[in-house]
Amino acid sequence: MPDGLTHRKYHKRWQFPVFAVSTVVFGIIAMSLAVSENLYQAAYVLEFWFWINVWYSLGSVIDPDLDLLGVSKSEGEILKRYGVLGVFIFAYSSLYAASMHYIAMKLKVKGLFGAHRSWLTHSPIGTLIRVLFVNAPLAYLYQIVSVGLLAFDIRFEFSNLDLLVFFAAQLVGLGIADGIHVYLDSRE
Amino acid sequence: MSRVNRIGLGLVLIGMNSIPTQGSWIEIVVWFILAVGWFLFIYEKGD
Repeated sequence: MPDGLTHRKYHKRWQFPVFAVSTVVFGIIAMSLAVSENLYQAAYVLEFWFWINVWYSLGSVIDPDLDLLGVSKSEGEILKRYGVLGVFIFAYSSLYAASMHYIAMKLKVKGLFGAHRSWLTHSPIGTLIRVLFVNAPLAYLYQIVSVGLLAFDIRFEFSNLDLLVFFAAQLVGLGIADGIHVYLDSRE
Repeated sequence: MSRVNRIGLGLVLIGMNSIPTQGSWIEIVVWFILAVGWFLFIYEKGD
């Protein structure tokens, strides 16, 4: 059974290949769009590329093992790296673990110690649930900041297409990281 | 934070200040700067 350290090692090992492959693929698409005067679309392709890499790297802490009740390796990393903010993130990720545990019990999903390594958390469904969990406080924060800044006549808002690109790239970036994680788990 | 990480952070900050120029060659360059900057920012040597 690969532990948290093994998962982190492989995640880090794949960081450069993910960056290199996505750079080649999206670089070619964006450049061909840009040369044919479609600068607007090219920019969105590159935005997608940027967010994929950001979310892949965040996949080392937002990983499927957050379903473990207690302190997982990634949660230990969050507490070590982010100080006081890490305490709040840890509390929130514990809410995720407890929720998954509860849902697994209700749906009679079989996993280790509750929901761990079940399809509920270690599958594309799990990735989608985590994305929704991550986005809930982000959306709330975005709302507060954009409304707060309006008081100073500053408009802080993103277009729907920007948000869609962000969300899609989040699914792909975390999906790749989770795919590596689940593959390592399945080898044992 | 290593020198590479600091260069990456610098690139990300430069990129973030230039995002609002939409649909131009500047925006294309900015996304490249941001992505490369992010990669350098999180880069860690070895396993």
